[in-house]
Amino acid sequence: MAGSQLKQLKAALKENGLVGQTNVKRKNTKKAPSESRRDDKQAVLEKIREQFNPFELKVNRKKTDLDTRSTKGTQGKPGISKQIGEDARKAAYEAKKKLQNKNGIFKDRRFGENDSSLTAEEKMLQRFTKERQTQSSKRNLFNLDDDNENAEDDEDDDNAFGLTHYGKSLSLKDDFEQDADLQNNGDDDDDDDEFMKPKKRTLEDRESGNHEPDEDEVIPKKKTKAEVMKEVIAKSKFYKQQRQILQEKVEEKIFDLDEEYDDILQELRTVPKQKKPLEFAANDGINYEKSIKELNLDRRAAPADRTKTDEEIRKERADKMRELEEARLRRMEGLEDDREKGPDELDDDFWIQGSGDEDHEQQEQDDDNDEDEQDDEQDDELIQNDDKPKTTKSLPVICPESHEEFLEILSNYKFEETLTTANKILTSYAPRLQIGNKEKIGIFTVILFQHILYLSESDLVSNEKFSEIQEGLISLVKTLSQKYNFELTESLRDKIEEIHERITETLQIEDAEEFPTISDLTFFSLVGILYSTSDHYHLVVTPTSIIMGEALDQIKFKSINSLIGGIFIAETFLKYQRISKRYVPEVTFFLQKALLSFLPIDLTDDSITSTPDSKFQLPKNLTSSDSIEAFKITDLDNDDLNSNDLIKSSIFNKLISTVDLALDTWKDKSSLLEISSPFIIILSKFIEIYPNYKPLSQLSLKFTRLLKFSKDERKPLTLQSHKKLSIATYAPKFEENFNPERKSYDENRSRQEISKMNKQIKQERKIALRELRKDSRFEARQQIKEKKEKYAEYHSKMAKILNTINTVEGAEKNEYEREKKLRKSKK
Amino acid sequence: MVKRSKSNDGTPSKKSKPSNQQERGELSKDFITIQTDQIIENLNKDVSNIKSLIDLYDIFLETFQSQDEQEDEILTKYEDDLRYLNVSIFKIFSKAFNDQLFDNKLSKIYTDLKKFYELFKFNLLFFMEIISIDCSLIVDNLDIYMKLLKFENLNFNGNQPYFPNKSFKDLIHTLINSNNGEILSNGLNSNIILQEFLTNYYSKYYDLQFYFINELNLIELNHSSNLISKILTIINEKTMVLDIDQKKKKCFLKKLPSLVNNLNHYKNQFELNLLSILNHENQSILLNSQYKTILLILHKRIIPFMKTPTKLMDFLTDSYNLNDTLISILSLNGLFELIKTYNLDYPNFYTKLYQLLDKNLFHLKYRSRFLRLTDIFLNSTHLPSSLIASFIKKMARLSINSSPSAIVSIIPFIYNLLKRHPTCMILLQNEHTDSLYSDPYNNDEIDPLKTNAIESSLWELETLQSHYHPNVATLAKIFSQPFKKQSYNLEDFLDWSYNSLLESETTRRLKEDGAALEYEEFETLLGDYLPEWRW
Repeated sequence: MAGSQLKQLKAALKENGLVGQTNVKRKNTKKAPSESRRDDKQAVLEKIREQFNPFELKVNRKKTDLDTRSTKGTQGKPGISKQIGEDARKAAYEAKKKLQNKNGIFKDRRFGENDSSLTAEEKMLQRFTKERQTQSSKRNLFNLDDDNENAEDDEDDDNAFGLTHYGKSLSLKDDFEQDADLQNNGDDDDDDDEFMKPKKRTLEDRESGNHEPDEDEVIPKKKTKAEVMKEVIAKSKFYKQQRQILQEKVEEKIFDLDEEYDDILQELRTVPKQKKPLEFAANDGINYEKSIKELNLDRRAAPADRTKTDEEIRKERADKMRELEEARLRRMEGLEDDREKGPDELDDDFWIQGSGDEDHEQQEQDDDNDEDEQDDEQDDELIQNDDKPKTTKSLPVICPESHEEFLEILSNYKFEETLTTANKILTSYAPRLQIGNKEKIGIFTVILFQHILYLSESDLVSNEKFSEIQEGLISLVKTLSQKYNFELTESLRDKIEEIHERITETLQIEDAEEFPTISDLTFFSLVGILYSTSDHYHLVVTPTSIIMGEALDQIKFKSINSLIGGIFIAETFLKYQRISKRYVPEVTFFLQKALLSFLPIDLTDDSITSTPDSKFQLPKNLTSSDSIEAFKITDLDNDDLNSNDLIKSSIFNKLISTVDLALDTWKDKSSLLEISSPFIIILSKFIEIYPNYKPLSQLSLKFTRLLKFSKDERKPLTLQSHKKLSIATYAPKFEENFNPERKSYDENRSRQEISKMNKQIKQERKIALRELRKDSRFEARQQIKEKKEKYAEYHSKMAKILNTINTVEGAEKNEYEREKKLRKSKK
Repeated sequence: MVKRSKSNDGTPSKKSKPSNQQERGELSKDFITIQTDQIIENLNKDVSNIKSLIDLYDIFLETFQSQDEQEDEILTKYEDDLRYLNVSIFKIFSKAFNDQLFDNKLSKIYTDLKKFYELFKFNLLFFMEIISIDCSLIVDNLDIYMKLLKFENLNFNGNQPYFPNKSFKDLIHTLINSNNGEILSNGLNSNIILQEFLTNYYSKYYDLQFYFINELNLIELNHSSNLISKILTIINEKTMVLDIDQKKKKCFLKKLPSLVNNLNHYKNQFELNLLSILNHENQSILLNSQYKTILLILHKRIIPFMKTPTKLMDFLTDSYNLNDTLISILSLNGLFELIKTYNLDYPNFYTKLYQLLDKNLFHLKYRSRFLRLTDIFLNSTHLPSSLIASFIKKMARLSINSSPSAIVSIIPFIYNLLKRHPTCMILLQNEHTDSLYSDPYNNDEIDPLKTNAIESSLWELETLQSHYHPNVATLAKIFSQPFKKQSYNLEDFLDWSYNSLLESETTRRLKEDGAALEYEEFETLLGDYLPEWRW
């Protein structure tokens, strides 16, 4: 733009159409409605003004202007913005100053208001006691005698400042007043009493919702002495009347009672007379009394559980079984070791076996409301209790604490009575009878277990009833094991270690026939019957399996007796695996060895992995007919087995059936071919020697059949067909808006956020500090200014005063001078 | 061999002068004390009285040889006095050595002293040889004899280096001929003097170790199991002959000839002696237990001390080819040492190694030794995969009849092999087969290259995944999981046994609610649970 400032102004104005012809119609005149045009004008003018005052605008010039982006903060008006801040500060300061020393602040001085440690309840209590204290101290201080004239005033004070509830004072009023209140509410007899009036009015006011209750109380009437005295007299009169009414009432009551006394006496005398005819009537019925008693004794009908139908019972049982089976399956898979049900949850049937009836009666005692009946029942119970010790006294049984003690107890009985004795102990020490019985029975369970093992070794085996008793004890232990699992399991684990020690002893010392004993074999089979042998891991079964494996693998089966033990262990081991079908290499190892020890010729083949420890001669004419009979476990201790052909052939038969069991157990194994190849070789040799022995050929046939299947189905392994894993990629990460110049770059997103936040905080802090400083500077400035003003005012005032004084003095002086002159002149 | 009659050569025998017997004193402490004091006083002039002391030994010997009483009874009777006598005479000679009476070899005293000295030594050794029961007397004799050796070393050759070769040789022969002790089950000897000599002298001093082998000349001696057992006991002892650090080689004697540092001489001597044992015509004197012990210590205690260890080649090859799995396994170690360091080329080594995998292997005590070595032998990635596959398949086959401890060592072994030879993974993962597949593996084939194992599969390991021991089963499951682990540390798996397996079970704590019970009901234990059994 050229020309002087004025010319430029003119041009600018003209350009915006502010000067010159205003009614020239433009092409684009319909820009805005006419109303806002004036504002527009103002804005335009403002803009032009700004343009012509370049000193207010400050521009930050860029060194390079490369990009076209408009950046913020290049232009600013520091003067104006400063002025704005100054103005704001000034306004705030003025406002503050205006209110200085004029504004009241609300300060909450209530007790415990700011104490968060107190609950609302405690707060209230504290406040109340505080209130009471201040009151009482006030009274004690100023009230020399309790019932003085100021009582009324005090009350008023209380009401004004005391705690209230629904507008009613919480503080205990003067008893008289309270009475009066009650009277007011109750009956309107005492309306006339003058002194009651103000009180009543206030009450009425409250009731009517008129909210001026304080009027009377706040401005109490100052009572004259006469009035007060009047009040006192009235009070005493009122009390006197009250007492009189009460006295009258009592006297009336006594009179009434006196009158009725005879009637009551009469009635009392007639009671026994009424009973007599009743008794006479009873005599008619035969033993009425007795039947009444019997009826009373009868068990009260209780809402019994509905008897379940057979179907329901069956269903329940099936459900339970399914649940147990599911838990077992989970354990078998090794998914969980935890047991689903605690032992206490299992049914309590055990206790019903021996002492069912008594227990039931005790259990189902009813508690009735009828006192008579209950008394009778208690009597009855007493009788029962009297009876019970009699029965037990005749056959006292003490719960043994060790196996020796149990043997001592049993020595008093016949062997046949073992089971009944054990049951007797269990019933008389049932856990519900006394505290501590549970532990005792726990120990007794372990003792019973030891006794089973003891019996298996004892000479009583020959007894006819032996197996019955033994099996009875076993089933007893099995039932008990549900409840006393822990104790039993602990003792079994100790037993395992003991057996293991004996095995190692047998291995180390030649001819030490410490293992296997009949009790060991019994132990192994007991573990199988008691515990869930299909578990992936089991605290008892796993270690038992280890020692069984050790026995089969390490023990030298030199005698036919030990071979029986081996076969028994192998069969028990296979029984353990009847569900889970786990593979036991030791069993195949042992079975090969056992078979080979019966084979009269030496057989060597690469697939046969074991060699016999000794050879046993089988009878030449081995036929299937002579060895069907069940096999005796106690033959383990029989010394003359080697000469007994019958037993030997039956052992062989047992062995064949064990191999058969093994084949059944593992027929689904993928390496059945490899497992059974040595057996086939051995069996074929046997068949060559004993062609007429049926079990052999049957087993051989079974083998060939199963192996044919196995061979047909055989496929190479595909154990490693896993899902293909993707190859890890190493492509670089591309980041948009990456600026290498920014030092603050951080690839960690969260860290970046944090640093950003930190930077913001720092900046804000800086700004706040600057503002604060500005504020304080402004304040200081303002204060100085004020002070200056104050001083100036003062000085000017002083100057004024001085001036006046001077003037007055001057006038006086002049007067004096004049007087002087006058006197002089007079002279 | 020290014989009583031998003493007649050098010294006048007491039996040749029976008249002396009357002059003989009594074997009592008082008499000995008086005599000793007298002799020590007149040591410079007259030493003939020593004879009266030495003659006292005969009193004992006569009773001993007459065999009227039990050996231990005689010993309890004379032991104290004999010990006292020994100590007294030793005192005299130590005084003589200290007074340098042995220096002047021309003097009369010297010849007398020397005579009695030899007699004394002879008696000491003779006692050690004949007394067969363990007693402190013979141990004391050894200590005194060793002290005398020290004196000899210092005094017999002036200031020149000297080793009492003859005395030491006599001692060695005594040790070997001693009746004490017996052959232990591992082929070593329990001779108390030998044990004492080993712990107190041989194991501590280098020169004794060196000269023991140097003076030992087994060719001269009559071989017997007893002799071999003693030699083995000594060989089995750790020596410092090969120690490079000279400072560690403590010596028993002071002035030693330079021969003592001649390692080649030692090795020659060692080799000579050892081979004389191994090559003896009568092989029966080498007990089986001793044979095993030799093989056991071969790579550590024998091969490094031989001049030409390749001379053992035949011995080892023969042992390896024996049809005894145990011997073969034991000889593997020595063989490996020869192959490794002495470049022995053993034909058909792997065939033989494969043959060692037989039914007994995994029931042997030394199976971990075998696995360790086999791991090294099969380490090379240049071996044909058919060979590796044969080993893997064979082991898997053996595992289905083995104890859990063996299985536990086999599984990581196979895993490592598969990891190292990925071509063998086909044993676990083989998808390309037709419907008429049958297992081509030949279990009876001896040559690992011809077994066709590579076309087979490891069904055995799959079966082991359902092993009854939960930990074994879990371990076997590694074969159906991705092979992510680089390798298993074999040492962690080699030394399991039933004992350790059970121990890890019994230390587990029982839970509050006990163990899981069998819910199935059986009418009877024998009969229902176990049919066909009765009480």
